[in-house]
Amino acid sequence: MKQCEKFTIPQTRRHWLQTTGCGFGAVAFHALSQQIAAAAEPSLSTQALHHTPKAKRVIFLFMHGGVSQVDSFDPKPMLKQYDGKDLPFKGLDTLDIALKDNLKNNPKNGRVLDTTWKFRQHGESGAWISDLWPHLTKHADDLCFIKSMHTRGTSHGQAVGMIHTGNDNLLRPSLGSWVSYGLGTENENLPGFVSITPPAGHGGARNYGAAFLPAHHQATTLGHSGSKTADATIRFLKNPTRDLSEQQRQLEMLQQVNKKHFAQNHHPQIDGVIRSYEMAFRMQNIAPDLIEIKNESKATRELYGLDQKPTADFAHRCLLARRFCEAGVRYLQVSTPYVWDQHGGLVKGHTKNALSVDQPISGLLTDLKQRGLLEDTLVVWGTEFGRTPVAQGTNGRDHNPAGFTVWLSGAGIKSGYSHGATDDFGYYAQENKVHMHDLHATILHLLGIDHEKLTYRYAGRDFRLTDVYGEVVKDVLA
Amino acid sequence: MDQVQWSIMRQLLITIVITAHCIFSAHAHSDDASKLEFFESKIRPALVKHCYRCHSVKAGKSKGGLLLDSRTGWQVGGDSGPAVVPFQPQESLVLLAINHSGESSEMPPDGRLSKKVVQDFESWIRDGAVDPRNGGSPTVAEQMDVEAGKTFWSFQPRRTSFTQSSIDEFVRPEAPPATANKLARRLFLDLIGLPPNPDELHEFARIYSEISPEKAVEIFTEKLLSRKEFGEKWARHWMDVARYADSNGGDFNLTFPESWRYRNYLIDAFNRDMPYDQFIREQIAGDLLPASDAEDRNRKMIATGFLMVAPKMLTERDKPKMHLDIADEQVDTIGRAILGLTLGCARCHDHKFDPIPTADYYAMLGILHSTRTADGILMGNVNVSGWKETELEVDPERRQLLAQHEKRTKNIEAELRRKQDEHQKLQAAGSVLMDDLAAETTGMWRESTFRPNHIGSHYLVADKDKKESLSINWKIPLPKPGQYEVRVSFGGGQGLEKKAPYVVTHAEGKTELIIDQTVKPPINGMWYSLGQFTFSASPTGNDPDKEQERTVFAQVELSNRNTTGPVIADAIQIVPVDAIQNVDAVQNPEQAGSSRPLFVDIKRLQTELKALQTNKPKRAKAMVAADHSGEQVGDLQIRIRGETNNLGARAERGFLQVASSVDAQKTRIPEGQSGRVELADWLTNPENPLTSRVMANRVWQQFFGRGIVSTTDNFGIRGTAPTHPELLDFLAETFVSDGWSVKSLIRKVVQSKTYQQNSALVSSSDPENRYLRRQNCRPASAETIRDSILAITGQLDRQQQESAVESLGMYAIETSGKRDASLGKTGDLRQRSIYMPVIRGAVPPSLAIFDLPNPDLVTGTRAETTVPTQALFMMNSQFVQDMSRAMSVKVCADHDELAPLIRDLYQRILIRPAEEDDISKAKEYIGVLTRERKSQQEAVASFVQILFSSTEFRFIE
Repeated sequence: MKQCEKFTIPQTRRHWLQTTGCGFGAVAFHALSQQIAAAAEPSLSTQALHHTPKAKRVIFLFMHGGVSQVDSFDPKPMLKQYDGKDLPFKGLDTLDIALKDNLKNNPKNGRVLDTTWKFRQHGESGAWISDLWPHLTKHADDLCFIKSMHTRGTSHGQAVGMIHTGNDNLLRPSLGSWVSYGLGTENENLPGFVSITPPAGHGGARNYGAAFLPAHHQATTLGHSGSKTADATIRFLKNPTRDLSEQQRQLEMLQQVNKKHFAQNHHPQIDGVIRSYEMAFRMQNIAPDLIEIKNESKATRELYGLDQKPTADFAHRCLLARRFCEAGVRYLQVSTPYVWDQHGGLVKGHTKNALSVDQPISGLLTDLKQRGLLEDTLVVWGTEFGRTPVAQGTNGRDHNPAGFTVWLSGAGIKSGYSHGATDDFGYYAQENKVHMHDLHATILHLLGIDHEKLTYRYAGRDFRLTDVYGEVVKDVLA
Repeated sequence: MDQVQWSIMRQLLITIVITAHCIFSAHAHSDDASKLEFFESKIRPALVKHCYRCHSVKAGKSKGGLLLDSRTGWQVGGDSGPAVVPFQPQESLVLLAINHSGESSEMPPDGRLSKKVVQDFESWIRDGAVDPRNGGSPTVAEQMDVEAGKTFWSFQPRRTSFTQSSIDEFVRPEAPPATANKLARRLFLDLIGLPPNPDELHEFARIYSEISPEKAVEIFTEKLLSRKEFGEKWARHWMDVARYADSNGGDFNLTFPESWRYRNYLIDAFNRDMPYDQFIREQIAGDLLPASDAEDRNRKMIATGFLMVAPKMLTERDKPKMHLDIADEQVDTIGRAILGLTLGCARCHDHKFDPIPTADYYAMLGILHSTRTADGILMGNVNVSGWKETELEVDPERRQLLAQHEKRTKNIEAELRRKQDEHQKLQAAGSVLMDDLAAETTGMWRESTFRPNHIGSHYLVADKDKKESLSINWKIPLPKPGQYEVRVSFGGGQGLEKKAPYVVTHAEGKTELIIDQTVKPPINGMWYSLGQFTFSASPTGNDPDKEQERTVFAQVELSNRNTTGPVIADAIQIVPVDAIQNVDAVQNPEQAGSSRPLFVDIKRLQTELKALQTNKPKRAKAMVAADHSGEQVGDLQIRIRGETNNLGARAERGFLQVASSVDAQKTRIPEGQSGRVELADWLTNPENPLTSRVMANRVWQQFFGRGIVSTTDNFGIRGTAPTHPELLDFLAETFVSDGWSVKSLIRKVVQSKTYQQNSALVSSSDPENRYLRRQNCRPASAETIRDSILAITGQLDRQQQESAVESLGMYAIETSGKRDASLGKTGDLRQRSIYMPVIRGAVPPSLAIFDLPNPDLVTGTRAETTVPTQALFMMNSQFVQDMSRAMSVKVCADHDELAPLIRDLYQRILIRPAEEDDISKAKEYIGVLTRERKSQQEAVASFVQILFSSTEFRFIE
């Protein structure tokens, strides 16, 4: 199948890059050269990085809807003292709390709401984790909390856009597509960016799209938010009627037809298409095995909680993430459905949601650690915004982009550490504030990329993930 | 003009600062030393520690244009003006920023300074802001020189006299013409996006050889330009730059049920060869232009879909920001699509590369901001905006239908009102009703409508597995004290609670009653009587005078205490004992000789009315822009750094200075109008140096795979220079002088030898073929691949289509992700690709994989990628397999012998005769498969799929 290389290519590789619509920023080298132009050419990745990377890949665990920080990782004793009373300062103007007519007469509405969960310190680091996350406590010393996150957008659409693309309104390339563009894939038979069950709404495909970057940097997706992970697959990967050997014969015939064409006209794009068929065939051989988890051991299944109803689906996602990581995918996102938005029914909702992800996430961390993958994999747990310390209705919290918590773990991260703080009520980020742009800058930094130098020229301007913002949060680095 | 105003204002500010400084110098000598000491001990260290990192020459950063390492630095200030106003802490932006009380910035970005430090700054400023630090040159932004900018090629007037007189003289093509087969295929695919059928190919080849290639092209160009498929190909190119879509995308991905009208408008415009200047005028200001009749009016209104189909952040809670963002998107789209300029770059600062000052941007933004795009609210949620839709004018038949419907609706409304009046009379008789909605509940009751015999929109259920205790309390005001019958409704039926505990509070105290809710309510199928009770005002002790004023209440409570089944809470009816008979008679007219209980009637009428409203014959609507009225029409203030609340000088509405003649700059926008008509006039003024060049270049690109300016949406300084500047002007000039006719321009291009050259590679010093010494070999577009396959197999549905998203309902994609409607079905669609649903975020894969552009962005030049996903689609998609099978069925029926069958396939799919080795190899392949017990038809289908997947099919040579 490598015969095509003996054909002479009359034009340069540079032409290739142009015909595929790529311009290159300072570092970018990326998937394309590996995928199409020439397997013979060495990857430039290690030479072109801005600095030595700590992480080779990222797993981004996205909790869609807004996880409450004051019920999870950011304990605030003042909430008990002020429970049912007014905040001693002003909340965000843009929130719904006061608007909802049917809530106006509710005495609890807009007043401080204490947490239902008990907070305890865990591990040698004494990290505060609430009883909402019993399994995660085992990893207390592996985590690094950022408790002073803030972002833009009080509605989901804007904030979901911010966490994925660094923009709350305009179409921009997603974080994963920037990483794919910057680093390419470790495995030439697989894409650099995979998103498992990505959000369908709140920007949908924008959140894993490539925008104006070359299209192949967008995520390859498995299923979509709301679909069952067990049914999720990569589109067009399987032929519904022909088996592989039959297809191989068909492909050989196709390549004969193509090569005759190429021999007549020598256009390099035609050679590119010929190669793309070969690569597709290889992908088709590899990827289904990657998605199939039936050979995983009983111990692994138990570790992730794959066989119990509440955890089964998210466990499946986390396990796929580990498998893709192992196979060399650079950037993996695993998303929950849009379930964390507890304007009401906080106790029930958060309990149910945490139950479904706590053990799978803990299992993933344990598994990565056992396999030595956590050393060069960065795990990021995040949510588009937090929730208010004041009540919406009697048992709910509104969106809060002004202060919330994310945690990091793995490669290059100062584990057993907590960075930044919100005010005494957990409303506004106050000490060592970290904006979403800063988090993005930090993730790129860990991958060996300077966020100010990874650029792409589009419509006459050099764009970057962090726009004109962003500072690496040095304090969380090991 | 506005630039000047802005600069004057800035000067003024500087003067004020300096004046203030002089005043201070005059009277402050006595305590100079202590103030200096204060600066040195408190202020300088704080500045060094917290501010220099981003605001000093040494750090090489002046974020926000501000330097704080010298006195001049803060005097001149940054983008928002002077940072410190001596003696005026409240006017000093630095203090507002560190105090987090400013509107635009909170400094330092990584956390608040201590209260002590903030207080120090306040004292320092109040005492006159003594600062001994001299030197440091203030970074005053360079004044943009628009006049100098006009010397750039694209802003220069078009040439009007030329050294050459045809395309071929400019380009001097060297390659011989392409073969008849290749040329025919190229011409057909470029003009109508479909390949020639064998008859057309034969005819083309005959003229090609008997007369000349030029003649064949000439004759067929006319034929193809008059086919409706021409518009279906060419409108799609405009849809790329108009970022057309059938859904909103953004936050709430709602369907655009009416966007198709704009799409079909575009097809129609290209087919009738609407002059391009008119085409632009209608899309910018169609709703404001005069119209000859209803049809013309509708068409022009629909044209403004150009402004409307953009993605919008409808849930943005900061509505002023949302309206600015929407107008920004429109300005940017007009810039790229029509002018080839990236105007959006000038939102936050003067354009970094092109001569476009921020004031020019806001001059145009004011026009679009005075236009209604987003409109109203959706889902009754004030946070969710809708968009403007306007009813179109209708034909008489439809008008009659509408009238009939209206009449019927009115009748039902009248009847409903009559019944409701009757019901009210009942209440006047002393019967009082209270639904669960008005009662006070504790705990989480579940709303339900499962049992039809309930009052109001729903009733409440305490489910049987509820562990928490739920209760409901009806406190019902009565007109006067007296004896009443208390009735409850709970639907009744199997499975409900048999021991529902009710407590009635009355004059004699509380009575608890245990009621079996499985019983069918005996009174009119609705009510169950709890018995008769006396209600009186509660005694108040020693103030008998007020006895009269006190309200009488009946109080009924229900809870799930000691229950095991579901408890239902709905309504309470209180009937005066002496009125029971009357009430029941009206309520149950069976006794009174009529057929139905009153509430059943009311309910039926309400249902009927609702059905009528949902099935209302639609008065056709379209997404149409409109001018705002009143205060919403007007100039905008510049937003400094693009921030909504950071207001700068007012920018009078107008156009780009760099592309305006002196006359155009004088245009004034009439009072109370947005200015879109004037904007449209300015864009289509024959003297506008950009509009004609940009469109001529777009047309050229479709025939060569690359524009004369390869950055088709950017004619600015960061764009690429034209490879043939004179030719571009020649094309633009002829385009304008031929009445902006796109078809005429196309004729000129395809009838040139330059276009007709073959694409064989030649060794050349120009490997990228920028100078077109041969034709280019181009990948066929997504639509061309799909439509060709459909046409060749005879599966293409050639009908013009209307909405592609009608079946989707309100959400194109639900936020929950439960339904991903747009993805699955498109593989079964058989219409031309232009009619496929363009759901933002879920473009049909058969198109998206082959580089259909992202509909969020203006895309004049599509990406040309070669990725394995395309190969996977050709190998594995249901669509390609279905089509291969259909083709196989067709040719197997036509031919008994394999050789002619294979010849036929080559002729129809690759548009060329099969060569001998093609036939022998294909025969061998099909033979092997049939020997392996494949049917002939399956084997041929497998080979058809090979031809559809082949590079020869996927490229245009």
